[in-house]
Amino acid sequence: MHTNLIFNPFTRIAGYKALTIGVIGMLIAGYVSFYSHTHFDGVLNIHSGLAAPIWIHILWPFADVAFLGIWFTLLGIILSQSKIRIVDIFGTQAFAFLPLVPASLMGFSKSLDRLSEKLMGVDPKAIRLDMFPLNDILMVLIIILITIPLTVWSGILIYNGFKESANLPHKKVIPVYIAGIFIGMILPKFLIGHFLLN
Amino acid sequence: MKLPILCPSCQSKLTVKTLNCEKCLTKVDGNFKMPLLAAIPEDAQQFIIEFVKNSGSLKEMAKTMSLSYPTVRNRLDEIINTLKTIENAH
Repeated sequence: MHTNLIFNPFTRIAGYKALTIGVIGMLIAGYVSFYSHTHFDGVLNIHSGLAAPIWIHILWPFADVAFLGIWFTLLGIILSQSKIRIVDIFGTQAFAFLPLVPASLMGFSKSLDRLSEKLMGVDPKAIRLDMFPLNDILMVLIIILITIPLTVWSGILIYNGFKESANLPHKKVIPVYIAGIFIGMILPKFLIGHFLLN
Repeated sequence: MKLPILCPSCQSKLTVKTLNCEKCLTKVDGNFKMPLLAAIPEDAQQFIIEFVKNSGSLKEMAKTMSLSYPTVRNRLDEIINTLKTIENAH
């Protein structure tokens, strides 16, 4: 039972407690992302530059976690011999979102938007480093260096949350996890983008 | 000291031949079968004792052990599987 609590806190916390903390984190992230124009448009996806109604910004983290919760619950019930609790699956998945909360701040920097604007429509062969202000390049690098470890951390928590909640061996968790992340990156983006943003 | 449960030579289940009173040194000889619980590791035996003391409530177990509910349930499932494996093997 000796596990690294940073990457697997779920030996100590799960169920309603994890769900409550996770939901608070998701609400904060959604609220902040409204002002920073950041959006979590898919599992482990963070993008900037969207000015949508506040409820869309808040809905997105919930849609991502809800998808993972439903996916892992269904597959967990099919594959696990343990009596799994839905609240543990949803609770651990909500808690796994927490590392992404600080990433909601990234949109406050306009460097990403400026870089994107400059890159739009430019021939990739014609891109030169001196086209971009040094400040923007440095800021984007800092954002990348911060958000990538946070995203990886969240991804590890998603994995361990499912494994602990469903009591499955790695060989069963890995394919379910990969498929879940892959579909989860696309489906919430498609559903919200298609039905609520158009 | 870990209680040996299998014969090191043929891997058959061991039985208890002699029981000893530490106070008056009386010895009882026989051929006693070891209980199934003796065949599992000591930490698993301790878990079962705690489980019974908590009236079989995994929620209470999780509280007293400062662990999450699924972690305690997973440990119980692991012990159940171990017991089943021992039962089926012999």
